[in-house]
Amino acid sequence: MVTLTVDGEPCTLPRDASVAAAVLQRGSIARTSARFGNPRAPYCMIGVCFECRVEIDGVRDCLACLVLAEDGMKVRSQHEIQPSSGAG
Amino acid sequence: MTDSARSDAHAAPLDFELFDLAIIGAGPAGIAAALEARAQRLRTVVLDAQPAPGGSAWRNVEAVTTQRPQDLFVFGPDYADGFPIAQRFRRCGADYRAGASVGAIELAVSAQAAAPQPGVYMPATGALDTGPDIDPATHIERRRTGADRRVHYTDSRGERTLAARHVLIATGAFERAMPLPGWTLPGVLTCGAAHVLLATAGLVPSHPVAIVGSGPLALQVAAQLLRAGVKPVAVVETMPLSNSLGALRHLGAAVLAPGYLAKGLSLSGALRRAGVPRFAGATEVRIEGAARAEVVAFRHRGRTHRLPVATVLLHQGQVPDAQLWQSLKVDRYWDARQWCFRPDVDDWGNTSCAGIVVAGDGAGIGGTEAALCAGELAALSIAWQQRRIDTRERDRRARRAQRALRAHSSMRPFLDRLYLPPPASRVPSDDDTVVCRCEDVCAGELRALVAQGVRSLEQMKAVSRCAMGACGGRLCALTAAELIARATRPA
Ligand code: FES
Repeated sequence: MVTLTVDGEPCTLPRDASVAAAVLQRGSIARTSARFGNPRAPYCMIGVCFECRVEIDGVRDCLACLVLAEDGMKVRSQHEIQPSSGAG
Repeated sequence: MTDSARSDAHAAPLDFELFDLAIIGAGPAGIAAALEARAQRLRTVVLDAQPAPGGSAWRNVEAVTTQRPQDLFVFGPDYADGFPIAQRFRRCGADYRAGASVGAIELAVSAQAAAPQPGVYMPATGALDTGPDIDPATHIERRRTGADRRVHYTDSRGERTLAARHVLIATGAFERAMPLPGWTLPGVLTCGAAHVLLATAGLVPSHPVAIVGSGPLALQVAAQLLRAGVKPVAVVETMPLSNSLGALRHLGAAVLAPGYLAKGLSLSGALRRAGVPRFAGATEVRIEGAARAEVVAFRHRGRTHRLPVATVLLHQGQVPDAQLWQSLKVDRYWDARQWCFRPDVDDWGNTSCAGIVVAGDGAGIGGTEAALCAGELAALSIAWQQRRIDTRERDRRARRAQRALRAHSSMRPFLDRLYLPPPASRVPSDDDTVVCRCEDVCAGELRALVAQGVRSLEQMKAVSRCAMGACGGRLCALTAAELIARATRPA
């Protein structure tokens, strides 16, 4: 098992799991969309949709579904704009 | 160029590792190709974005088999088949590089091209040797010939490049976008994503979970969830009943394909026995919720249903991952039966670009068994083109795979017709539904632009940013193109 944090909350999952699996297990989101600020979470899990872009240890725009979860990783959701414009 | 010039150049140090064959993708097609290529002693490298071989069909099969064999039954018998094949692949002598995402393939490199130019297109000449490759800085010839293709990829060590005489694109397929109202909400995933989560992380979706759409994978995932102890609250099937009628005339050919119909019936039987409600021919499906998916609403036999959910799994078939071959501008055609673009390849997977070969679901959806055959045939043809085997030997070795490919392909017309996604779930009629997830572009905006005179996907990209986002249009280009076509050519 490995333990990492997602938006500061600890999350433990099996060794072959991706960071995206951690985001989903936490019930967290990966990012807010750039134009409308709507919440998005991992969708395809195979590197196609790019909805799982998160910040991992300070590096933005990592495709979380293609990164294996590792002990001690700090995962943060990404917010391109403040979710204010609402509509969508 | 004289022979002596060649051998001199050959002695010069190479800038890039040079392989006979670079295979992109370690799913069924890529693995089968690697096995055959190694049998013909081709120097072979396999690049795959995932951490372990197997592709989508056999995701993480090695670890599941060795570390939690008690879970194997969840994934069904076809999944377990992947283990011995993955093991043979590990031992075949191909240079397997996991976690390598290919960004671009570059064709014949001209003397002027100093920096890598992703997606540069050179017309296919049919010749493998296209002349010397001169380093513009030193004016020294870098390699024996400029014939090889360069593959630019990223792995944990950063950006890297290798060269290969042939490149086999075996990147498989992904699930067709299903742009329903609410499909961007957290809690909505593809059926394939549920399979990945189960295989890699041992995670099941939060309950209650509904499966929406149609296709073999939707039923497979429903059955997997049942075996994993999660009973879906509903399978909301969007394929219209007319599909079944249309598929009937392909039934004759389908019964010749080994095993498929029996598998389909046994999946249906499992769902029935478990008492999973199926809503066949559901329409007007929408997912509602404020910050997450909370309700799936749809019409079925004249009634409106609203089911509370925590997770919605979407599926309406697969489309080839066209990104790499499309960037090389290989000849392609529209397949109305599979409702997608396919590369125009010969029986061996050769495209219109010399040295670029496509095999498996990336060339058109055929399934795992067909992909294994296609990968093997592609490798035989490449070995033949590189003069490792003569024509007789190629054809002799190809016979088994060719026969098996024909048998497995006889199922496709039936499946394609049965599961052809209905127009309403290909292009959203609701104006507020997002079409392009990356750039947040909605259907109504696209229709408004068409009304203002936008007539092509290229124009649409420029004015709306639809299909210009991070995913490269993989999830929205088909939808946007169809939306434009419908608006400009009303039926
Ligand atoms: S979840 Fe789709 S790219 Fe990661």
